[in-house]
Amino acid sequence: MKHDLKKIHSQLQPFFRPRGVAVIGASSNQEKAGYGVLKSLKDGGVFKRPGLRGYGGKIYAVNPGRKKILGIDCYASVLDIPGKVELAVFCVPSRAVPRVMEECARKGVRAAVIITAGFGEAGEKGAKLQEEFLEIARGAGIRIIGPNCLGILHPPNNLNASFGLTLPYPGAVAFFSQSGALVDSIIDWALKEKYGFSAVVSYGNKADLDVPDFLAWASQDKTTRAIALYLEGVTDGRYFLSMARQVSALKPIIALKAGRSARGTAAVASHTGSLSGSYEIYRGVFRQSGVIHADNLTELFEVGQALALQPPLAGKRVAIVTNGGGCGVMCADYCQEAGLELPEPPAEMIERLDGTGLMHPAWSRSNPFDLVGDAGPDRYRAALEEIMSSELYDGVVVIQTLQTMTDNLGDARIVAAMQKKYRKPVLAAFMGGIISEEGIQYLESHGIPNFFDVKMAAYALKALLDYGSFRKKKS
Amino acid sequence: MEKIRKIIEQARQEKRDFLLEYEAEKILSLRGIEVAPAILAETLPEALRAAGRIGFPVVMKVMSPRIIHKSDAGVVEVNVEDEKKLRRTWKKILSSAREYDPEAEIRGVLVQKMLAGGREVIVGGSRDPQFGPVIMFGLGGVFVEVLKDVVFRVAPVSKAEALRMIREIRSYSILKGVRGEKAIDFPALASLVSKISRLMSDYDEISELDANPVRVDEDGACVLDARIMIS
Repeated sequence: MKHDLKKIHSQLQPFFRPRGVAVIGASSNQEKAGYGVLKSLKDGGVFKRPGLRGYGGKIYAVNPGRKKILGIDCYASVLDIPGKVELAVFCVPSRAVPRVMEECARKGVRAAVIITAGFGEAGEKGAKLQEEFLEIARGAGIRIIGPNCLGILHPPNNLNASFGLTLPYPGAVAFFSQSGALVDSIIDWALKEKYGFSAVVSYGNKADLDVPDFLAWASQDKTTRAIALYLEGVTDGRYFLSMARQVSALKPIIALKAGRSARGTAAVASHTGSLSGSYEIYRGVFRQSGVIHADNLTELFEVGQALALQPPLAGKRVAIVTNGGGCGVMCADYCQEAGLELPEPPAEMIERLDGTGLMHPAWSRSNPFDLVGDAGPDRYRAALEEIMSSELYDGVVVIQTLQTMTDNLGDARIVAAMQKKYRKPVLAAFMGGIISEEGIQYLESHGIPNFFDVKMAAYALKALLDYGSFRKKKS
Repeated sequence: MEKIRKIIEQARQEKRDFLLEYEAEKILSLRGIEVAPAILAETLPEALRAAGRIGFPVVMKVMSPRIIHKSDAGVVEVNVEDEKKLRRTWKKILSSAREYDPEAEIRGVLVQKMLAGGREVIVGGSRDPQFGPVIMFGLGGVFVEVLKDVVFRVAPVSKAEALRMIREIRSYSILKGVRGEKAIDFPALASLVSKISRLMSDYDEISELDANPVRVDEDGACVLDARIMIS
């Protein structure tokens, strides 16, 4: 079955680029979600960060008791708003949601984010309310994110229709999370790491839109180059499988699945039944659909970034270039454990490198290419030119340990320039913190993912290989 | 199709939620899956004739709707080498069956060709509330029981996908052959996995399935025991 990705993308666009946004249940009480959402739309977030801006489009507040909140015009009902409203963010109590949905339907709203909790997760009464507003929304063609969610953040156009802390920096990774609380912490972390997102959506109870729909949107979104998922479970497994398979052929997906200890609940009488934990099945589903499996949050985002920024590996032969022997050995260990191969350089390559006059007499003449501690940018350039122009290697990890003579910015420039010249996957492991910061920032701002831990660099290479193999299989 | 539905229908009428081994193996062989040659014998002379046709050594297993876990009940005997041993085994496993459950209705004794050597794997199917029919593959014995070295896919899977599954288990190198052993017949095993996955997706009535063990060697894959649960 082929899904119409363009159609789903255009249906979801009003969430990301709405013409007119209304916060229904806007509030001046800082304790309420209705305040946080309005403030986030207007200023980009409740918490400030340098360069933070609010949404440029029209913003309206709906609250029958107020004239203005945060300087924004306030209306008694969405129907009283003079302009067009494409996106409505619901911050009203659950019992009011069906009535407000009815008004949104009459107003011609296209998209609704329901922050409010107390529906499907809250027993029979809540489930009935959910059925009620869903029916109205379906009749009017309104798509819904939530209920019981944080909302949606779209950094490329400064749209923060959520009560998430603040907008993260724009980037190439779209993050869809079943958990709202996780999103807050990830945003805070991402600000410190200068990690960017093309979109962040907390989708809560998924009464209408679920992960596969967001995958379809992201596949057609020009800013998104990789998709990161935090999953607890999907509602329609087959829809997820077929969509993930289709989208993986276009863009890489990486997923973290929570609940690995949970076992199938049904009474089982067979071996297979007793081994069919949902986690094991999800892993199979990921394999089947080209989704890269992340074991933890660090992997989800760091490997996710590598998938977004670097081309997939065409084969499993990699080179390691390093100025520190031990780190090269560690990296080689992890690469081999991950099933990657480290072919030795041919004699002619060694001869040419020796002939440059740039190499240290004690350089390794093998893979890992240990350039010795005093290696400078010229030596890195010589080795990378040879490796990246050779048919023998499909990708490379460049390790830099910090010595007193290390020119970390100079090395970073070489790595970025070589990647640009040869277009092969390159990952960096400039290992350090404060003193190497300039070089690391240069790498990251030039599309080279940097890893502190060589183990994570090896995992990222493996992910680029797995993704490359899936793409090859599909084509 | 009709034959398979009839076997399942029969079990349902008897208010069973599982198929007897010979019924399960009949279904597998109707789907083109290789199963160890076996004959159901209702009497001792029939068992002797069956062993004569199949050839010694044989495996003997009591078939009863009341006995699903045959090894636990002590009603399986492997490596029955000759007529003398067959007569003794006949008595022994039938009395075990009666001891295990005096009420047990006995359908007979399945006399099956004893196939030794090769490597043992498990191929299974079950139903997941989110993904529907799923298929599992792993190495048999301790690899499944202790190491849980198994992989899953949503059914059905193609032969190519089945091959990827087989390569994914941690103990894959055992199938490729260690210490001078030959590699197993991967295409035959992949084909068996794919066929079982299609059986799972074609028959909603099958809730769980174990082909365990499946014996594989360098020229083929063959089911030695099968269990099918129905809903």
